Amino acid sequence: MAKLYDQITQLLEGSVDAAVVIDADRRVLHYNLAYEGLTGLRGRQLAEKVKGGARCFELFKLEICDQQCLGCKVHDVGRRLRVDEIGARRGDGEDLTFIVSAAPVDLGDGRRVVVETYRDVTADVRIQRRLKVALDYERRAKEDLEEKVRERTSALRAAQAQLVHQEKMSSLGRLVAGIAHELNNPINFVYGNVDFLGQYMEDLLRLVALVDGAELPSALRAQLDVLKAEIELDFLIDDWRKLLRSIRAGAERTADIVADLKSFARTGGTELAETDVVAGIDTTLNLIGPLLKNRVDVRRRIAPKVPRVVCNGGHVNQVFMNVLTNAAQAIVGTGWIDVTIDTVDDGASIKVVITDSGPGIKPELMAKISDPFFTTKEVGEGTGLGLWICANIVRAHGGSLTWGNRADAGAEFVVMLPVRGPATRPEPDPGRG
Amino acid sequence: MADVGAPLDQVAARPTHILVVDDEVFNRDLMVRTFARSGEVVAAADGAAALAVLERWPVDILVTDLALGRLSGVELAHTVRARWPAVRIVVVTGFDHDLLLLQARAAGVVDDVIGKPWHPAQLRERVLALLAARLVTPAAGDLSP
Ligand SMILES: Nc1ncnc2c1ncn2[C@@H]1O[C@H](COP(=O)(O)OP(=O)(O)OP(=O)(O)O)[C@@H](O)[C@H]1O
Ligand SMILES: [Mg+2]
Repeated sequence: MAKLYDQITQLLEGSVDAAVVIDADRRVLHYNLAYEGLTGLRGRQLAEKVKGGARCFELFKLEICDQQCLGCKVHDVGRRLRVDEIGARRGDGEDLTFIVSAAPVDLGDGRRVVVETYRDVTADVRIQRRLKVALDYERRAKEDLEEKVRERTSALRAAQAQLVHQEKMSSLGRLVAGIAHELNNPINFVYGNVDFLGQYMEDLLRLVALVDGAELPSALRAQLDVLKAEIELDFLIDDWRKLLRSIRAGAERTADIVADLKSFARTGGTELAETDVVAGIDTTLNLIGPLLKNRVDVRRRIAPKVPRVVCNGGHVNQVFMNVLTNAAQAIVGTGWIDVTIDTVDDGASIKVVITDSGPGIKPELMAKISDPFFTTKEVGEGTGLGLWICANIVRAHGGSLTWGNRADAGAEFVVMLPVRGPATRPEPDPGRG
Repeated sequence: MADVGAPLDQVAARPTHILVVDDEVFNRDLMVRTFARSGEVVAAADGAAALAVLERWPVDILVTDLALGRLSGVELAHTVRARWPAVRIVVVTGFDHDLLLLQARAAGVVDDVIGKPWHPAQLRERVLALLAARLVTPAAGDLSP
């Protein structure tokens, strides 16, 4: 059907896209004007070559021609194929980008030819690429900005958290100092007078014994015996020392608590000093005693000779205060808290493990509980700053704070502190480089 | 100033004169009780009353609380040290870290500081130790130049 073939070639002549008609051997049967431009050959030269049976890839080669031939494939499968963004070098040496389309045409006489067109999209692609670069740039700038906003926001939040916490601690400090001071005087006169009371009693009883042992007129003796029975003198003599002992013990214990409160209130400083962490934990337990009372059994296992730790005692006490308070608050009803203190790393660190019998930490919250302001407690009950502060303090001391759940218990918090305090990074010395 | 530079044997001959100052009545009573058998004790409830006692009675030892209301124990100590240098001064306090007190102690204005709560036997021992030291080695200021 020469007629169909002629129609095709006429059609191609008017096309702005370059086009060729090839046979199964990829010999060029026909080409249009735009194709001439691609080959870089002059009209006659090209016509000669085509007449001499040149194949398409010999005249104009696409970057895919070496691996696979689009024309051959289309010829074989009998279906139209199209490939976008294929690179090719034009006859004049310029690298361009094309959309290549190939369509099979059955001429009716048993011959099948392939019509291949090449649309130059170099300019489009270039514009698109530029556009994409511009868009990417803008997107990244926006992301950067968002990131910066996020950073600033979290820095602000952290600063706010720090402030809230400091305020909380210093007003707690003031409160505790005030209480300690108010208690000092009454404790002093209870504590101080007990011995006098004892001495006076002793003296009086000596007098009683003397009278009782003396020869008395029988009327007086009878009266004395009645009185002795009435006041249960024997019991009194037996009991009064016990009574005095318990008053003294109460006064002494209160005096200890006052001393604890005073040392707790004095922890505003930032300096590092050798600190008895074990005593600090004891104090903390005394302070949170009311939270534990008759409800939580605190069991201490303290290794012998735990060394003193170079640290900021006030800050480190805060860590135990928070962790122990959390443990006590986690326990609903009755339960226990285990405090284990060991020396580890050949004496280089101390390790404090605090385990409770509470419900443990929900796995999905595990990573969040040390975020500032994260709390599961009621409004007003917790600020959610406790563990965040703890983590900061421990980090500042070169130690670590970790937590998890125990299969046989609730949550477990582990505080590790280097005995010699935070490693002081040597200042870079500009003189020696 | 009659008591300054008084011959040592005279000081030793009469009972020790102890002035205790505390604005808290129960603690003041306790102080009196504490020193009752160690000499003659006079009590004052504040700094002004204490100074009034010092004006007319030769005091050997002043034991004062730190927080006294208008005139603090440290201020009282400064006044007493300036006017009656021979008087030994002991301050009793709950604030053992009070800066002014520590300075006064370092400057020798205050001879000893005893923390609250104190135990009578301990307070008596420390106070009498100061007195004994004074009898053995009188400070230069105690004798007329
Ligand atoms: N021992 C524990 N058992 C179970 N959950 C715990 C335990 N300790 C902490 N958590 C969880 O971690 C959260 C955060 O604790 P964090 O100490 O930071 O703040 P908070 O105790 O809620 O408030 P704040 O300490 O300011 O009073 C708690 O609300 C709680 O959900
Ligand atoms: Mg907490």
